[in-house]
Amino acid sequence: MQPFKLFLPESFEEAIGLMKEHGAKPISGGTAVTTLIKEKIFQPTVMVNLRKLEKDHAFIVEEKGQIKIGALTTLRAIETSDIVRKNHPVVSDCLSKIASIRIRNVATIGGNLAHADPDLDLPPVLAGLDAHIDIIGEEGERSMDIKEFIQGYYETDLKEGELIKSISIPIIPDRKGIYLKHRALSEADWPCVGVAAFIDDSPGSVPRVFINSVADTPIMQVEGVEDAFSEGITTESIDKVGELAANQCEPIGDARGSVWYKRKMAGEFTIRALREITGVGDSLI
Amino acid sequence: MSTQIPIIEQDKKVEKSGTIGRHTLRLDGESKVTGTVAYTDDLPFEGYYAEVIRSNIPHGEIISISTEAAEAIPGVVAVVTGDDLKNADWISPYVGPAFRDQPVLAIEKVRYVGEPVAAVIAERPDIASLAATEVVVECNKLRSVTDVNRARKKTAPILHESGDSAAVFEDLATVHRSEEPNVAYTYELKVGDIEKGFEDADVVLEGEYATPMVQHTHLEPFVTVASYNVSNNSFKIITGNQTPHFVRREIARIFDIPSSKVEVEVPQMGGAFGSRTYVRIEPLVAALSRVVEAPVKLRQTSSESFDTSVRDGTQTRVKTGVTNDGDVIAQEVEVIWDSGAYADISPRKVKKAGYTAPGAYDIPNVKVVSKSTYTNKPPGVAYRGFGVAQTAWAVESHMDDVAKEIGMDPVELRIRNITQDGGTYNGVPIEPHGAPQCLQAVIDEVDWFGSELKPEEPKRSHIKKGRGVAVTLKATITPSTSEAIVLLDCDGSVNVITGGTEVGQGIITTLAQITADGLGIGIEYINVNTPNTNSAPFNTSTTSSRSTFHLGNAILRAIDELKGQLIDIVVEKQGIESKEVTVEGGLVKSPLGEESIGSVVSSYFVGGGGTLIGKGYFSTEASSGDRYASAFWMTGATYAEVSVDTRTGKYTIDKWVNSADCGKAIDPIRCEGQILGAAVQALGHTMSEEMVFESGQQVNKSLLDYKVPAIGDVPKVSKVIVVESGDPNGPHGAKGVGESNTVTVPPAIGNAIQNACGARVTELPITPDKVLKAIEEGI
Amino acid sequence: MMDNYIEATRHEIKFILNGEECVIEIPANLTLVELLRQELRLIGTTEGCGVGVCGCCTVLIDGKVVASCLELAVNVDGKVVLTIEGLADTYQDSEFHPLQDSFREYEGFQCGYCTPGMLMASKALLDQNRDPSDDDIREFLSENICRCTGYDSIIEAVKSAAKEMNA
Repeated sequence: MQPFKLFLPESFEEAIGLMKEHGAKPISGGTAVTTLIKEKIFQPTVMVNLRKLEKDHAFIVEEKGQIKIGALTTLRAIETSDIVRKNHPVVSDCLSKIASIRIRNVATIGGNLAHADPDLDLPPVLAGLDAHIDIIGEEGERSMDIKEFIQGYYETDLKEGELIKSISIPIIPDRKGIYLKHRALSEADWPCVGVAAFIDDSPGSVPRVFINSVADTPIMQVEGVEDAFSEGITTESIDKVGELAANQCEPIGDARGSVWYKRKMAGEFTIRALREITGVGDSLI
Repeated sequence: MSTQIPIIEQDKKVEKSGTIGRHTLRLDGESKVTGTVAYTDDLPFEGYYAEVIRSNIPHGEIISISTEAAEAIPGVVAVVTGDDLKNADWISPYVGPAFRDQPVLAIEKVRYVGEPVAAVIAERPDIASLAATEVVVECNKLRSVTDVNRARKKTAPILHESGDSAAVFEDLATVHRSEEPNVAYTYELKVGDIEKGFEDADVVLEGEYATPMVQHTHLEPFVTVASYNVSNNSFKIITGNQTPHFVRREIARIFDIPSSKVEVEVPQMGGAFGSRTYVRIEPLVAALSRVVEAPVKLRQTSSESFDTSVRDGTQTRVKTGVTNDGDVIAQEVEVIWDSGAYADISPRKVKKAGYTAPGAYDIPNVKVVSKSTYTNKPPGVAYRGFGVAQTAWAVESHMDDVAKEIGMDPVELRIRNITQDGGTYNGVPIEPHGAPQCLQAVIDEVDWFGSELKPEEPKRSHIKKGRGVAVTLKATITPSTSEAIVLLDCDGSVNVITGGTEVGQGIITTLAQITADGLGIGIEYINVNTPNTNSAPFNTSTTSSRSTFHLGNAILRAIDELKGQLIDIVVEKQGIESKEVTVEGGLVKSPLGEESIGSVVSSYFVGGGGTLIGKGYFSTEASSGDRYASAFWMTGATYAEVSVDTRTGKYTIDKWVNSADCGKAIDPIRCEGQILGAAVQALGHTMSEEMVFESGQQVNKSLLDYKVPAIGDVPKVSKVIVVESGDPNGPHGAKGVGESNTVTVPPAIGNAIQNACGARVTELPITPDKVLKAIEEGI
Repeated sequence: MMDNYIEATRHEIKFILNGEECVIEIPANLTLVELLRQELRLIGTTEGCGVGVCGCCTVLIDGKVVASCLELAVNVDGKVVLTIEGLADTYQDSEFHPLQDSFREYEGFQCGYCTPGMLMASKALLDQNRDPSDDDIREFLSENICRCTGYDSIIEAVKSAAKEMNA
């Protein structure tokens, strides 16, 4: 790696000050950023290393009806957390499918979400759970829904000098969700497509479907689901939602699948996920 | 006379002749599980570090390379460009084993994205890395061509104007450039009367099949250290390379110095698979060292391996004539190889794999046309399977299509047509090879003719099951030479010196086993070197699974010579007839008694010690045309059983059986490791591996996106069968076993998928995308 | 003189390496694998893909598997690092860890380049699961790439070591 200056602040305030002063980018777990530097895609001269913040900001607590997770918490810590598993097993399950334990031991939730890679596994699941991103900046703190937070291709709502401070996931006992990750090339790979589907165990609840890897963000919500299910949830109406998913996505063709294939799979895994969470039709997984 | 040297009491600890055919712990095992083994990058180094600047366009004329900004960085020692080499009087800057078409650094033109155009030399690797980004290369873009069919059109941009044979190898001495645009070399084979064959056939079927460029992805990237010694104009090269003697010859030639002034040392390698053959980065690093007159190390990244050496892609057309009874009586195969921007060893690959393009079958009328084609892509080099993996993908897929067409079981069709041990192949007699035994082994294991797969329950009717088989016949590099020196010390211990390199295959241990058995001493008394060309005698290459056969034979000859000397000493000492003396179990035995071999040596020399030297030369015969095609034949078979999800095209391999003929297993566990290792490597070629190019630029140039098999991809039910047919010319009957299953796995899986759901995917890799498309299109 | 030329900042770190305290000053752009190999001459940890995917460079930090090619060396300040060189010492008084013996016995390696990482990951697995199933092993070693063996011998070796350690 080429040389750069590195600062190691011990608080968010200090980190924000340093980022501002040097026009520097933050590095957290570093599993993505270091790769970009090594491949010379990103050539920083100054970096602000957030690792020392893990002392105060690597935590998972249950408070006020939500799970609050500090930005420096590793993906593996969340995956193996009893609090998370008990309330939202879909999150633990999704995390267990990301990269390797080696990476999950280091990669942090803050870094993961700020990266906003369209292939990320976790955002569609967090979207289905209405998670909020708590942001800290010079001007103070703000919080926003993850669906608004991730805005485009590697793009978030973070302004210069802002950092993710924590993630809040509401505890919704009657919400049931599933994340299906379709890998096309290897069992150790990014998703070809990943589909998260959720339904609440309440009368008239309409499922919601979020898909990664098929748009410029990792959260593509399938629209028109309510209409499709207006006359009830049947295998036919589930197929219809699958069609909506396939039609609405805008994938990029690559080694993991052509545009045609990714569209098909967005539809197919929407159907599979919906069959699982609604119990309608035979399981296809 | 007696010395103070303690002599090993051989007969106490020795496992007499116990090392052949039994599992022996690898001699390099302890160093590998403790991390003390040294690869090139692990050796102590003091000197400068290099980093390469590469072309970012597929084809162009270099207008200028601006180096000032890089040179201004503190710690940068030099920036070297192709012009510097072109204008130097100390180097002929073109290399290659077949044609000398590849510049050490691009000269005047760049021919592929990733081609080295300049190199930075700096005091630290991070400075070299930074400085490399400051070198600006300005090019005038030329039209490029990345498709082999477009490349052969008259209107195509021409990559190379000329090309003379490098004339290093006998089998390549007469290769010459084809007249066809961008065709580096054309091989043709004609057996019988192909036209009449097709006329006589009841059914004639044609098919087209393709494979993409893939990369070896050895985990240890390319690392080379070169030290130029200005005082005597010599080089020391430390490098992970499978052909140290070729490196020596090529470095000597380009710098116009004697071979003896080039020392090439090859430490252990972190995998090779054909990638580290002939010269890769060695000439460049040597040149850089010559420029700065100091040691230079270049450690490429794993991504840069994709810029350095790849496996040729292929497009193959097969036409087969068969009788209703299932006799294949005519076959025409045309293989067009995508060899990338430089020919490297492709002419030989085109010949060798062309010769066995008709598969393992004895077909009376054959026509093969095999063409190595230049394109603006990274150079195709040797890769485990040496082209046969690509041709067999076509022919072994096609055999199932033929079987289907005439309504015959695909295994029955194979059994009916397979070339027999001692039968003929391509119209001429063939040495025993074991192909029928390998096929029989897998079909017996799964009771092919007596069993059927159980379909999924109706609720899961979208999952379809199927099974498939493939078989192969592959040549080894011929002609070739291996030599060995066996040094018997007066304490009775032995050093074996050869040019055989350890790429992970276990050659050090295999050679020690052969030596231990030959002298009847314990393997713990034997040391096998890793090669250094200053001491190691010539070895053509550690490729083509040739080492056990060739080096083993050379060692046996060296041991015979050594035994002769031991006998002579005892004969002279005891005044008896030589026929009365034998050497066995580490002892020299005569009617007057027995003496350990060490003590015989000790008694012969004065001055505190002595070494008896046995040498062995082993050459396979020079090729006369194409008829004597191989020193031995590699054969193997694969059975695969798959479940295909017909809604996603994704498949899992529920079970597989891999067999290969090793002649005789010197170590059965190591043979199993070669067979399964080859199979899993080919699993990657089957399921995922493809260098994806967009406008000549590879877009998946890292293991993040280029997926090789992980542990979760490997079939959970697996059986490996080591076939031992006994090679008449091999040491103890042994021959190579490392490649057969890289050939058989992809078509076996492709055939199983077709059997399951009717989908015939003709282009590797068989991605779920292609399977689903084939299902939907009813192919 | 170019604009973006910059010397890396230097940092003093203190950590426990294979049971012994290590204090060293390092530049910011040094990765952990470079610290081990270049500065400390511990060559057992190898660097393969360099982007965290192959697992060759796996070491344990505070008992957890980490890709040392992606970890900045400054981040091990205050941590406990275990590499292949310290593996044998973690097991009783024997010369080798049972994993090292079983990898030799079953030939769970050929070229050996992935082996240190494979062994360290296997050790972390056995630390948390004394009797792993084939599937447990497949999951834990999911991205430790071996290009030579075909993996089956690695699975056998890990199971055999577990058996030995439970005996």
